[in-house]
Amino acid sequence: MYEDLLKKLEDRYAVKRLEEMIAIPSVVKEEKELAHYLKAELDKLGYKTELHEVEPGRPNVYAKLKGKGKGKRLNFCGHMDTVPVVVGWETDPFKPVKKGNRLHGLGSNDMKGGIACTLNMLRAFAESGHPFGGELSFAGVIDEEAYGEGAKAMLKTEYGKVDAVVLGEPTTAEQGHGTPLGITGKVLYDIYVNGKAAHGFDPGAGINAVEEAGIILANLPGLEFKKNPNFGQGNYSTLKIEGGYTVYSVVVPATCRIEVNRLLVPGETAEYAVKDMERLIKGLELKSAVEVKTKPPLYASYEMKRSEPIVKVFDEAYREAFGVAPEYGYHKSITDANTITGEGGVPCIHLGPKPGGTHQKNEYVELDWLPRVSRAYALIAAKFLS
Amino acid sequence: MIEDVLRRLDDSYAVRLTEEMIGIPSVTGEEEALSLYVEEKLRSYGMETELKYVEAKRPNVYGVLGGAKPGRRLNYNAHSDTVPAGEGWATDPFEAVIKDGKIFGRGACDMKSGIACTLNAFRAIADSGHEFAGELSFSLVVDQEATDVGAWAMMKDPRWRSLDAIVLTYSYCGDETKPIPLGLTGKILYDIKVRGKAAHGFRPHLGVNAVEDAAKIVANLDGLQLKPHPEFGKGTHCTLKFEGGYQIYSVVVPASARFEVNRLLVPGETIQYALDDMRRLVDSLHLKSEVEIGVKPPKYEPYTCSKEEPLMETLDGVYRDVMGRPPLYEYAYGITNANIFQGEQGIPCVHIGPQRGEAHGANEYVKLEWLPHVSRMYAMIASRYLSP
Repeated sequence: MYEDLLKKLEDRYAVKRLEEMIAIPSVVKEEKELAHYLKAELDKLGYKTELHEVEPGRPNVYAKLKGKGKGKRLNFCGHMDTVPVVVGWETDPFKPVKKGNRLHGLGSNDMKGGIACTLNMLRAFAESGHPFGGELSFAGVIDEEAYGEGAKAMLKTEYGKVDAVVLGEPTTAEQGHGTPLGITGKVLYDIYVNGKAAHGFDPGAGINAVEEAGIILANLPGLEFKKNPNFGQGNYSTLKIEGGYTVYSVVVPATCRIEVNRLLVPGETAEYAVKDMERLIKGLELKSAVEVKTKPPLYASYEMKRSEPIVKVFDEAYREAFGVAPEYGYHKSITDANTITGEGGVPCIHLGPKPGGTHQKNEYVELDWLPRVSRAYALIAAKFLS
Repeated sequence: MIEDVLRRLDDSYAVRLTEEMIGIPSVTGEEEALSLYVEEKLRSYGMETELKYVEAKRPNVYGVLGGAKPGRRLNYNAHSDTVPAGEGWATDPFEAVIKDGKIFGRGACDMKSGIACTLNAFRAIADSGHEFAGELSFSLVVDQEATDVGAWAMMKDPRWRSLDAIVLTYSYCGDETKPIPLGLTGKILYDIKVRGKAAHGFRPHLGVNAVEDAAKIVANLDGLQLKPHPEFGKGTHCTLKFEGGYQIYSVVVPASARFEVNRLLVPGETIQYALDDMRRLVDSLHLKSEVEIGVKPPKYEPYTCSKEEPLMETLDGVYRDVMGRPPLYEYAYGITNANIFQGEQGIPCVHIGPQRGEAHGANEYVKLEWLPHVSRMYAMIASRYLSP
């Protein structure tokens, strides 16, 4: 019953678009040209498109196709930005280079490959006229590799109120690479310790902010991590400390600042995390005045049920496209789903070509994944919007 | 004979020199002009002088007056540099102003008035032809307010390393404001580098967090074994700086951290003891990181001296004669060039100088009334210590 749609998927189209997108550099903050490229392509396919500036010169791109009559709304979302070029590339990272089954280039995998499969699927819908209800849409977002501002902006538009989102991140749902049914959140504590200066020979006359910050860090194991049946417990990592003189002088430091990353599991909010840190510090009976703040990026955790409609549809589509059942997992890395699902409450499925050197030199995508992923996308959309 | 010397002391000369020297800025690093001024004065008294450059444009100055026959060799030591002017002055810090019986200006008490009193005494001794044994000399060194490169350079020279005793013209005036030191604390600046292992910040168990391990050391510094000294009590420790972690935001377990701890040492605690003590403390914490315990300059050995030491005895007697009361003494928490001369080199030292007023602060001053007392004490100490 989906043959009309699947017939219109075209491998060469996906590869061609991917090659073109690799050749358009879109290192984080420089997503503009790729946004214009995607808008033009989607215009050509007959979608109703829109550029939406998140920050000056940094637009998200949206596109939608209305189905026949009312129904659910499904969005395919991809981030347009890539990480910067790391050292050691053997080929030009902005030139697609095919070596056997591999296509090399920055972003080939993370995540222009997923976007190419999405375009392939969107084109098949437009050209086949396959009947569906509701709305099929696309969002190309900026800044995923930095602070996730693109997804946050999307959440405030009509595309943030869809019934489900498919993220084309390199996630294969194979064994060991399960697609997430939930992701941890995170908070970045920014803690200011304010003591009192004095001559360093007479430390009793002052309050040493650096030493009291040290006491806080030494006691971080006293944070109360809630247990989650799927994730277990979160964790913490101190990322930075700075305190003391700039120009050498024997003075008791009056201020110190520390940053601590904390992973949050469902059941733990940022507010809880701040209160927990405040409780811990209060128990230390320090003499300094301590302020517990947070810094961006802040991400909410989430978990979804297996019975969630998009999960059920994904499960079925995956079996048809890949001939095996998908694997699921609970992840500790952050994606735009932390914003879309964690903050926005819109369920999210991750599916894309197999990871190959993501964030590393010589990043590549395995080309034989593109047809399978395109096919799975088409089946997900057709079933969800049937 | 000493009467002839004392008659030649000229209180107005000491005041004038103090004023002139305040007018020659000599903030640490810029001591050359003042050094040349003092060298010229010493030469004018008929002393054999020497300018020895420690660094470019930073000379130590020496002046020597030989005695009539062999004997002890006594040196008066001062530092030429001052701390910067800083904010909040009511007058120009580099122009001496006399008001209410005080001379105001940067260096007034720390320590240009001490230099002026020394020059006053040396001029009187030289002019009177006062007979003494051994050698009377003056040293003016750079960089005391920083890392003492001047005093260290002086102690490398065999001529000065072999002195019998040194009078430091610091503002220890023997009253309750600054009793005469019978010893000084030393200090060490620990420079501790902690090396862990980087990992993604979401997977801290795969790394070794250098910042957190360093923090464990800082949080446990009370475990240092500060030895009690009967006179000083215990030393202190104070973390001065702590840095570690990302430069550009990234969620990475920091692989390195560094912190600095100042520690005052009392006699009985050597620099080596302090290093060993920190190593013992660090080892007891069983950290996963590698910890390298280093020291950064400046470092100073502590010392104590006996009241029976000849120069200290001489000072005690002279002080009673001039001030009409015995001096007060203390074991002082502070650092002077005596940490190098006596603490490192073992040369007996005394400190005596005009009472201090707002040293290192705005509106630094010295009270005029102290200059005649101190000039007199300097002349009498030299005369008695070097009596033929």
